Amino acid sequence: MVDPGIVAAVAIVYLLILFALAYWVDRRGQGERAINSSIVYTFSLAIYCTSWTFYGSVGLASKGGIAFLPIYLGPTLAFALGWLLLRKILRVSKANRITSLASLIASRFGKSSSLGALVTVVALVGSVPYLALQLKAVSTSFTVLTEGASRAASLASGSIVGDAGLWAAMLLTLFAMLFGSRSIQPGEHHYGMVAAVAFESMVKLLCLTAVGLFVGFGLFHGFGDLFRRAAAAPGLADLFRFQGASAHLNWIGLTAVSLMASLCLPRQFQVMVVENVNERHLDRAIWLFPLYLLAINLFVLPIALAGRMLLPAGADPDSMVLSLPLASGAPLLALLVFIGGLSASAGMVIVETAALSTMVSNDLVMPALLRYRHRQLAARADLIPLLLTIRRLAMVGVMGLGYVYMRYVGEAYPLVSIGLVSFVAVAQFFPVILFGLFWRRATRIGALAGIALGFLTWAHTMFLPAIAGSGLLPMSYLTDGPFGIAWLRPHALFGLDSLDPVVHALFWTMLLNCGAIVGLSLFTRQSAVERAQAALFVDVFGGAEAAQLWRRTAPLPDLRTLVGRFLGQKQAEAAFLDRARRRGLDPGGIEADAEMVLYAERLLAGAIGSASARVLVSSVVTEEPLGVDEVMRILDETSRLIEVNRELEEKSRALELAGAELRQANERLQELDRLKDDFVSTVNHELRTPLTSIRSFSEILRDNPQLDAGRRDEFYAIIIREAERLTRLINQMLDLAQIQSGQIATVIGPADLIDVIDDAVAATSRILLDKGVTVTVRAPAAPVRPVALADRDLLMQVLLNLLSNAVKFCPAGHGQVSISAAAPEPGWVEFAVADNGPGIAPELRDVVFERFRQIGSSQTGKPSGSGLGLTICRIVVRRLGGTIWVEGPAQGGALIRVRLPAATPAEDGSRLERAPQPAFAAPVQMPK
Amino acid sequence: MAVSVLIVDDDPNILMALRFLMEKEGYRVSLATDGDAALEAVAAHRPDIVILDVMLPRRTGIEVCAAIRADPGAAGVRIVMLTAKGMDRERSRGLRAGADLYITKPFATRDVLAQIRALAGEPAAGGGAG
Amino acid sequence: MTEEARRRDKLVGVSAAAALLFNPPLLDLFSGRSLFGLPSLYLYLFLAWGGTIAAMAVVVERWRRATARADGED
Repeated sequence: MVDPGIVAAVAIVYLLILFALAYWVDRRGQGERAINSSIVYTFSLAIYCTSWTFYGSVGLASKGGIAFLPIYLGPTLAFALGWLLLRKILRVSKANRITSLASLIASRFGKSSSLGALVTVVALVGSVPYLALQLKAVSTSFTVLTEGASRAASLASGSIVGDAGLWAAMLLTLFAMLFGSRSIQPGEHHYGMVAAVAFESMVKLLCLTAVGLFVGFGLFHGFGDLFRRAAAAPGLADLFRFQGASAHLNWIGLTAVSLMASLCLPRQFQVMVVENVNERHLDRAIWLFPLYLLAINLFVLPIALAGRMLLPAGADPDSMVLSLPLASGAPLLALLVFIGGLSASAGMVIVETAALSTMVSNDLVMPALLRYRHRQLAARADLIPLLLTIRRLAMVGVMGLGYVYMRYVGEAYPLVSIGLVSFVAVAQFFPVILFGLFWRRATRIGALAGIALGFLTWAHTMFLPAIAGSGLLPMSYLTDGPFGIAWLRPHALFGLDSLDPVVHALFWTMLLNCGAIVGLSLFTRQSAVERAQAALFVDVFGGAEAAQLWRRTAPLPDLRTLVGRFLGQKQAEAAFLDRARRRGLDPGGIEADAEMVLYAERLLAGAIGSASARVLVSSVVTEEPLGVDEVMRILDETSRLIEVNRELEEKSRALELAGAELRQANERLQELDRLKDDFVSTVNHELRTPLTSIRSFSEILRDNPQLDAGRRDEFYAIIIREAERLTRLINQMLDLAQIQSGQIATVIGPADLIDVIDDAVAATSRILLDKGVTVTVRAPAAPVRPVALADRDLLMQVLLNLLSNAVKFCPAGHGQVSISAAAPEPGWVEFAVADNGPGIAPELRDVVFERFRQIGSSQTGKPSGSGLGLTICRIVVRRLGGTIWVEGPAQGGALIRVRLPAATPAEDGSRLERAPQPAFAAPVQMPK
Repeated sequence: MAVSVLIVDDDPNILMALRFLMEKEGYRVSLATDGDAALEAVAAHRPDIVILDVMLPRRTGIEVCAAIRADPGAAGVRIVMLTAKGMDRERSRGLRAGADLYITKPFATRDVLAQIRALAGEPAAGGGAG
Repeated sequence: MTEEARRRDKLVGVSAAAALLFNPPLLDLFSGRSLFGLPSLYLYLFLAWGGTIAAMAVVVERWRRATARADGED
């Protein structure tokens, strides 16, 4: 016996060494380098060998001989035959940043959160017996070591406080929490944990080998001696035999179940896939791992045989490894064995809880939170603490369940039996994974039904019977079937009572599981997401890329923030920057393309699982899921998009044109506005100037009554002239306004030009006299009589304006104005007004028709007049359908010519009869 | 010595009316009908007061005003701007150019006389020929 | 046929052989006998197991050397 204090101290020191190792690896910051070796990878895979192997195998071998071996031959076959499968799982998981078994399965079947949750529940329930097994082994070994094998049987009756299993559970949970959920990493790599686990695998192998060698050479004279004596010993001969249908079936069944379990155990998936840092490590592990299994089992049978021979008949078989050195007076070796067993348990418990906690948080709690507490979740910027808390609580919960199971159920069963319950449970994942990776048509419904049916069958045939065996359920459940239904008896389902319970359970679960997957997959349809994921998984080596089937975009900042909430903002930013740099994208880009979205989803999947990641990413992503058979629609849509794009381009071109036109129109309007301002300003000036003269002279006359008559007359004359000027101006402005607004009523008819000219000259005779201007009217020779088709009054106005304009520019006293009329070509008549004034410079000949363009204002002083006359002329002539222009006569002076439409002969026939009239001449001279 | 007044306007009637008014007041009157002539007259006679129309041929009244103000020799000249436009914008432009008074056409002759009288009575700021 | 496919087939062959070697009827042959003073069943199983592992090692290590040269790693 060893003092409990010493045992506890050694155990704690050993665990502290593990802590230190894991801590050191994590702290070095190059954890990946530390475990980047296929040897370390293999040793971490050896977590497969738990205290089941360490203590239980010997226990089983002591009763069943080689029956313990299928558990290790299965993984050997799995690694050889399953190389295809393993490599595929590894590749798929790395490509999609899958961090748990649940994520793998959920992801394959359309990132289904229900499937992920189901897998998690199954894994959780299925792992509880396995965890209980480890705790029981620690607890038992501690008791055996400190109190002797006889006390070990009464384990459950001991107080909880004194139970080493509880302390072990708490310590190991703490360890798992420290290294399995220290931080949230995108890849879920726990380098320190892997290093510690690999170290433990080494320790347990060394310890068991030490015991083997001690037994072989310390207790016997070599293994030949041991086997010879065993062969001679009574009751041991059976252990070397292998006979009977039951043994065959058990052998095959256990090989099969361990083959499947070695790939589907949560902790195996964790070390094999999640913690894998280099795919090539798997290559060597294919033979290194079976080699480890062989090595650790080499001495199992000799130790079992020695135990049977040397230990009392009633000794607990599962404690033989420990009891033998103790009974042989080698307490130090026993202590070493205890450490080895502790190693085996610790490694399993730590990794298993870490793996389960990842599943619980990523595939059970997060999806539930996302579904039911999305708003509260959205309000939290940093979700890392929440994730970690969920994981740590999950670890504590899982360990608690394991402990409870150990105390109330595990007591009654040997270690291997307890472990096999778990094996069959996790084996339920194998068909789904196999079909999922190799059969594209496997559907989500099939997977759900397969796992659910397998799980229920397992619960009925293995889990509940175990509980019934411990007294928590009535034994009648086992013996008579539930509710007394005999054909539902757990160990003889449908009357199949010829099989060992484990094989029986395996048979039914697999039958129903595979049947449901295949059957339902054949009769259900895959959604677009499922189809895309199926292609991605099945053709992982074909380079299938999901992004091709998805058109997803998202605002990059949103995406970065989202990822940052789970990974930390700095890490997220760095990851995105790195990705952008690698792809040669602008790191400051605003829009994330499909590839970037996929990258973000995988980053997130690494932290919280693929199903949750998908839900989260789709909250910021604009997504169009596309099935394979929708490709045609894509093509249609693409061509339609191109069409729309072209239309858009045309429209934008048209818009540009319209914009340019609008701009021009606006400029014209502004110009017009400016002209109007000028006009108003000029009119203002033109009105005020005569008013000023009139008022000034009126006031002068009023204030100076003593003025002489000459001056007075002069002033009066000015007042009258300016008043006339004012009147004229006002009339012309009214004319202009009326003509421009089209309010003036026109009566279009034949108008004899000569008649109109005569009338105009007569009307202006007074002014002509005043200014001493001679007017000559020249008409064409008879019988031509130019008759315009026009409104006579308007024509008259044009002539009056032209006349007064001509008179205005004539030199005072000897002005000469000549008016001529003609019919130069059919359909048109013309008249022209010429003067002998200064003339109009060629460059100004268009400008004179603009309002208030009084030429000469800057050259010869200001001429009198409104500046509106010619403007009115042009407007009227245009209204009448004619044109007006300035011609430069050869010898000075200005000539303004007007062309108008001619009246047809029928219309002016009556006037044609009229005799030509003599030209009117008014050679009147008036002194100024 | 009598106060000398230069009247600048392109309208002969207004010129005549102002001349009558100024002469009757006893001022020495000289006349100009465009901007250039106005500046020449200022240079030649150094009038005490210039009555300046804004709308002038060749050179606007504003320009003439600014030119007089820019000439240090003509520092004491008082400038009365006349305009037929009468808009505030014009008024402020004229005053900015350095006019002492701003009269809008048409004007009341008595007001103009009173204002010019007041202007002539003030001592010239720059000590001109007043 | 690619090198990888050849390797895959070899591994499949080895595992098929292993599955046959560990087959219950074959185990029956060694049941209850003794060889070199050791139980023949025990001896056979471990030899077959070791042989399988060795075969796998040969296939894998050859492959690793070939690809390591190609990849320029290790």
